[in-house]
Amino acid sequence: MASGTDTLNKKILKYKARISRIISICKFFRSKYISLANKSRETEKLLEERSKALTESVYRLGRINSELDDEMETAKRIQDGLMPKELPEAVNLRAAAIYIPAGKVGGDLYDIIITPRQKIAILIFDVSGHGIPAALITAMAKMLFANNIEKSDSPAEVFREVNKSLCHFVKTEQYLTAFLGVIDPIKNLMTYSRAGHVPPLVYNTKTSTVTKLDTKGFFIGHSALLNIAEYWDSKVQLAPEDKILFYTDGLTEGCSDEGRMYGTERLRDALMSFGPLDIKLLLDKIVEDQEVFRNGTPLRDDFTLLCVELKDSEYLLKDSGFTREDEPSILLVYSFNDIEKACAIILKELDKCGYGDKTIKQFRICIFEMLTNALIHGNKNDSARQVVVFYKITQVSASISVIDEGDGFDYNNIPDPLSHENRLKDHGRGVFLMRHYFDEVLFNVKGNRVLGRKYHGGK
Amino acid sequence: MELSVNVTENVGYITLVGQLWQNDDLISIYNEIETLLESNVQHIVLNLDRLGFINSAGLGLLARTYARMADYGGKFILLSPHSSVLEVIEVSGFDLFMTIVQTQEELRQVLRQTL
Repeated sequence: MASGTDTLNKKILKYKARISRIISICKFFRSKYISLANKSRETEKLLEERSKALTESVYRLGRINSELDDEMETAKRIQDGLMPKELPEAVNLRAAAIYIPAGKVGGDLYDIIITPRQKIAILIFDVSGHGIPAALITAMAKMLFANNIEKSDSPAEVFREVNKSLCHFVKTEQYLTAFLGVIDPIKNLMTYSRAGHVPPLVYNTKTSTVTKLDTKGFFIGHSALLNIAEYWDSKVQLAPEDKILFYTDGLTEGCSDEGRMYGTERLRDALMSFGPLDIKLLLDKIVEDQEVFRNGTPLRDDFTLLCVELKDSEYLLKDSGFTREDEPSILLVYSFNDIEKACAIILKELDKCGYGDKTIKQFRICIFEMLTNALIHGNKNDSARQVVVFYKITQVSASISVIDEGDGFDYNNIPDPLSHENRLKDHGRGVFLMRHYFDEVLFNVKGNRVLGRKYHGGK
Repeated sequence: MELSVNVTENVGYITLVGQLWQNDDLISIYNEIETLLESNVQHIVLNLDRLGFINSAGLGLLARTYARMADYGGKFILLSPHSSVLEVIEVSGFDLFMTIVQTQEELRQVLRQTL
């Protein structure tokens, strides 16, 4: 019996031990379950936080992106504003331009500036890169070029100064290429310099030939170039009706669907074919030719085309009282606002040649008379018409010739303003004052040109 | 050009500063003169001591104003024209019939005689 009880007790103990183990296992799993459940909650919380942060980041990025888009749009507008809206009227040339964007803000710019010496400066440049940095450098370069073109008619000198300033201000790796030509409108002589820019092409209408305006010259504005960059002036004698094609490399680097570039040779061929056309149509045809070549391949870079056509300056001189050999300077006047400026240029020359204060004041009256008569009576206050002023000041004599686009007047029958019947009239003293102060006053037959001459120290 | 106007007793004083040649300026001066005459001013004094330049259009204004004042029965006096302006006035023969005085004292004398 005792052994039976012992056996039972042993069994009970054995079962108890098993139950205890089972309870331990259950406790273990329970604790694991609780731990896992806690971790799951933490994970959920973490996921929720991460998700929230991600949403905020996406929103922030969207906002930044939108701000960048706005800034790019502003940069694009600024750059569009830098392009000349109307090319200035120049005495003996016509110009047309076209800009083809490539979706991003580029760094192309062109400008035509009449210099204070009445030369015609034609500028084209291309800033490396795109976006806001390119737009900023474009704006800065435009102002630097304009300031320096005002000071000098030497393109190489202008490039040297712009390079110095840009190297000083721009601390990035960006640079620009440029071409600047300065045309003497009387001689049709162009002084030019090239700063790593693609060389313009000249189409000669008479011979139907194309020549390249090539010359050496470094890029502009890269700080590594500050002390080594050099630029040189070259000269080319142009002929009336010549067409000069300035462009940026986005045109020639446009690729076909086979990966070939449009290239200079194809551009040259296009200019040979379309050269006889009007300059606006000529540009359209070249753009079209490049589009056909690309065959739908998107542009990698924006590009600019500027075409300048020279007119014959002989017709202007014909009636001026000057000859080409006189090498007179030339000024254009369209409205009363131009009179002071034109007058200041001529009087400065008189001062340089030693004409006294009294003569300069008298000359001033005469210039005002000549120009106001030409604008009011000749051009009938129509600012679309131009008054061409030729002048030649030497230490021997000072001559000024003013030609308007009117029908002329009868200069042989000008009433005497000193006579009793005319003395209280409110007009009719302009020619009288010119005749009083000049030593010679000569009209052309038509009466739309007056030439006044004063000899230094008297006739 | 700038102009200023004031009236002392029955004399209208118009002071011109700058240059006299632009049509808009001439019209302004004509209008001022007419306004003065409508307010019973008897004489007009054009003070030119700060006028640096005049051309034929400006001379036309002087001639027309002189004629207007002659019709009106008042005096038109040019005061202190600058030497370069006076030269143009003389070249045009205006000094032969217009009253030109150089100083305030001369002006007072002329006005005393007419008042």
